[in-house]
Amino acid sequence: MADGTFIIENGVVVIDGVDLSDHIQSCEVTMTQEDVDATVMVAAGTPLGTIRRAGKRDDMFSMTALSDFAAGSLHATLFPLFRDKDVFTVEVRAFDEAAAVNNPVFEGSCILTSYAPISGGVGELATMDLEFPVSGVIAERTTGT
Amino acid sequence: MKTYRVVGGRKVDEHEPGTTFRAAIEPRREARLIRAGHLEVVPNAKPKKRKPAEPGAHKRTTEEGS
Repeated sequence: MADGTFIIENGVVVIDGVDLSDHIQSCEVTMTQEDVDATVMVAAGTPLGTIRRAGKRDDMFSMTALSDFAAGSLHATLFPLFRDKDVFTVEVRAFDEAAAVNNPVFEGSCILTSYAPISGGVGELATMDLEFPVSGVIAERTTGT
Repeated sequence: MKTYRVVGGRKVDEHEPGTTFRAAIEPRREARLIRAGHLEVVPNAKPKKRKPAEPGAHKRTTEEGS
């Protein structure tokens, strides 16, 4: 049986079209949908159980990035997106290769609702935790670059 | 449609640093990418005037190709 498990090494994170992979320590692509209670009355003697429907999607990209104020780097790319309340694309893939069934690209239109450019203690690497809530849903693409 | 050069050290829209590409980038995003130091607009070069084809040029080409 083919084993498709993998260790994350050369993942790709593209924010607003800019490849910021070399500053991303960890990344998570999360897709959730509301658990809507659709329970109705049951006949006497019938056990009452919760009937569920999948409701509204609420997707998110989360990542930990290395802080960097150099020109053309992380802060220069991200802060304008936050300050100007822009909507922008985020793309994440597991391998630095073309999109394929075994290398899907997860992409969505996002906003940046909070921004903490400096975080860390003395002697620690300055990092920032980023959350990109998706406007709409995350799409999976298996073709193209 | 404009021509852009990737001027930062990062790939932009899959284009490597130092390369140029033509694209229709939405103005707000274009301004953002330029201000952030990722792109610059390459002024459109004036199209070169073509020399009128010499009489018999087509014939010579045909002979070379045959």
